[in-house]
Amino acid sequence: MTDIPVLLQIDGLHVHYADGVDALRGVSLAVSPAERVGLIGPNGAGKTTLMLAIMNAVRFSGRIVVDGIAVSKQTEQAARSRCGMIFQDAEDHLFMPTLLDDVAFGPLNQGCGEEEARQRAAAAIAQVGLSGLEERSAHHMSGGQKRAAALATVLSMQVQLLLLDEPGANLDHRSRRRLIETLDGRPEAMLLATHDLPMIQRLCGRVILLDQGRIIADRPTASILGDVALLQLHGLVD
Amino acid sequence: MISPLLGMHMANELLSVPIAGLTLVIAVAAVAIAALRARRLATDDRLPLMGVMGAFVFAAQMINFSLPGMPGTSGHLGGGVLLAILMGPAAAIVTMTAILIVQCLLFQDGGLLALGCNIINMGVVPSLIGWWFYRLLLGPPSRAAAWRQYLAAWLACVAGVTAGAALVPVQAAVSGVLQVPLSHFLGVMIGVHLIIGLCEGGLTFAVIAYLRRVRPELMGLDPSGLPASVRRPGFGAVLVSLLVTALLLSGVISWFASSLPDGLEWSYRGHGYGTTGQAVENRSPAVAAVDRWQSKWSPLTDYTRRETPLGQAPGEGTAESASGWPQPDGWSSLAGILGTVVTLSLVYGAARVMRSTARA
Amino acid sequence: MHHHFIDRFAMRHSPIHRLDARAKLLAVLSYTVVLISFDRYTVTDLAPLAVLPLALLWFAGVPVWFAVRRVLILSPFILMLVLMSPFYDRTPQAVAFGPWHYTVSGGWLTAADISIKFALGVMALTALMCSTRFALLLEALRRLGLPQVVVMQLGFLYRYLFVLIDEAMRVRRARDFRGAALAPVGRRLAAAGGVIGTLFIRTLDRSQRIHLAMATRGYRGEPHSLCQLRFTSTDVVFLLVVALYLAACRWGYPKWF
Repeated sequence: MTDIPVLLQIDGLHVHYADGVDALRGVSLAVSPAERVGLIGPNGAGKTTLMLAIMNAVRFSGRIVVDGIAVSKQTEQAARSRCGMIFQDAEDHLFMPTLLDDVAFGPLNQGCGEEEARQRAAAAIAQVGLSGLEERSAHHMSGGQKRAAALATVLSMQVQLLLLDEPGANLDHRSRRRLIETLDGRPEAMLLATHDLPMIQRLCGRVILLDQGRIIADRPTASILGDVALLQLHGLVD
Repeated sequence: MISPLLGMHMANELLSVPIAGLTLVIAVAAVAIAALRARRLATDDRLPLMGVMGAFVFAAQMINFSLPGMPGTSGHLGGGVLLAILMGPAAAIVTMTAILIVQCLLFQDGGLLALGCNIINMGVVPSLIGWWFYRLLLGPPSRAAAWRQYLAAWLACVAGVTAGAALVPVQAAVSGVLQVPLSHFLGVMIGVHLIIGLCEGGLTFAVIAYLRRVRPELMGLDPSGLPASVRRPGFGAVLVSLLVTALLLSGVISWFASSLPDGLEWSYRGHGYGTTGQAVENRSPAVAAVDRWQSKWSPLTDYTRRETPLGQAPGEGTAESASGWPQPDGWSSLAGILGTVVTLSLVYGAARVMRSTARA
Repeated sequence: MHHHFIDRFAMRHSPIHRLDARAKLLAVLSYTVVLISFDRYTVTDLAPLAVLPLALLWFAGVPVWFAVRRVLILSPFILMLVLMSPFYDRTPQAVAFGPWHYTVSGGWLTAADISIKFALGVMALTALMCSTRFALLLEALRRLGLPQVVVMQLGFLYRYLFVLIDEAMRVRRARDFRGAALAPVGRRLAAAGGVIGTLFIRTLDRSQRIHLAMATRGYRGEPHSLCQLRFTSTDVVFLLVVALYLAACRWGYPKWF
């Protein structure tokens, strides 16, 4: 069909939770390298679940292929080193005594030596604008700094796909703007789940609308964000 | 700024070097065993659990509960027993160890060399004894009635906290630094910690009641098997638990006190008190200490002031004076009164609960 | 979220801050051993031991009143015990300090002895903690033999301590604002139980999320810290000086005076 290589390919993804909820019902999508895709939908639509499935943190049926690797228990480690997920709450993302340790955690687990891990960590910290805070502990940082730090923890792993779950939530205007600028300069592919439609407009070329576990629409940004009726139907705008 | 919550941690200065070393060794061994066991039992996703639970205990200690009728005092959770009930003794010991190290380092509460003692007194002993009592009294967890669970938790707290506290005077006595007779020191520590244990037991019971309702699987209960009405802590369950606990307590206190002096007569001789024949103080220092702690309580007016035992001054290192330990009677009356007061206030509390549940 | 009293000092720079954490820890440990090795009646021999904590505090740029305040805040329990001893120990002891000679009952000497040792011990520990970042101290403990499990848990505890305390304070405030103090005993106890129970459940969930974060960043075994501890000649000199000082305090001073 096309010869654009595909970084992430999902076919017929189903996720069923133990308490009876069907979080995802037959989701299929594809993401190309360096492509930025926005993920919108009301709460409970399945955005977080989708990301957790890609990271193999929930049981799913269907097929997920990341950079040619079919995601499963055996290939988990390899697949996880291609994607980096950042949770809504940055607090639980930063669990080491110092920032440097947190950012170096990923590279060390990927098999880097200490010196290389240190260099990667320093570079990632610089990329998010937190140079000088390496020895700080996370509880000394502001909300915006924590969000940036969380981003650094996956950037140091040199992943190819970023999974961002509500990165702009609870940030003040300045921190939010800084975050957008940082993300804008990144070469990685991105799946960005958020309610922040202006952020999506700025960063993403394509948007997927998810509701009740199904993909409702998968179109270029302008097309979806301009379709007010569609957005109203799914409770995303008034 | 958080005011550090002051536990009664053992201090360096009450210990001698060899005892500090010995307790450190014992503590290290105990923690190593507990760590291995916890590691083996814990599933992978429980890995950060113990450390974060340590933070939880600190946070939980912030939640005070103002005691009825005693403005200005408040009860706190110590943590060891609750942790043991919720996570098992091995994880509880590792968590309490982390907590004590942080308290020692970040808050300087408890000395560096006393860490061994503190880990034993406030980590290992309360977790093990609390856990053992709890399981003993509980029976099979999935079929435990509410009142049984509350009673087990309450008594486990009292037993665990008191047992750990009782070790402090023993360690001090063996070190030979502080010149307070073992039985007095022991009496004070046990007396005070029985009350502390009671408060902590109350809070533990309240936590377990809440968890029973909200996440029964955590308490070892099968969530689907419980009808909704059973899940609410009924007045009957509360009342029975409180009364039984109080009665058992008063019995235990007096038993403990009267058996004290016989076993520890040797401690008098061992300390080599002076031979000055000064007149006996009117107020027993042990009582003075208890009074100082319970300053808002009405004084234990019927407490028998310590009389001159068999016509001899205290602190004489002869065998006769040791056997002239005057306290069995005094302590029993203290016990009786304590027991009564405790029972009365608990019944009062239970009556309030009945009124509020009746209204609900 | 303003609990940084120790961290505030620990983040500064000074010659003491630059010393290896292991050296400082060993120094304070040995100091404490020497401190408690003195007999309970030899109060006057304790005088030169005041030098070390004061010197450490001074060179680390920590105000002495801060350390003294720590001593005062922590003293109630020890004071209670210590004040009991004059009642029990009335053997007269001779005390000599320079030209003055006193006869005091043993109990007062013990009380003074324990109090002074306590104060000095706390001040030395404060000096250590105010001049050493916790992460470095943790690494020092690990290198000195503390098992990795405990080190990890200490790390998590330290990291989330203030997060959870903040959470607890917020919940407690919410409870207080809704008139909890006026409630009858039963409801108050139930509220306290509910708050703590909620905190517990939230903590369980939080620790699962942390584990998820660890797993998605490839965690497989023991993470180790990148904190570098380097033992330099300065540290060796420091330890030698401290050793000589302690030897002089323990055996020299009592003999010479």
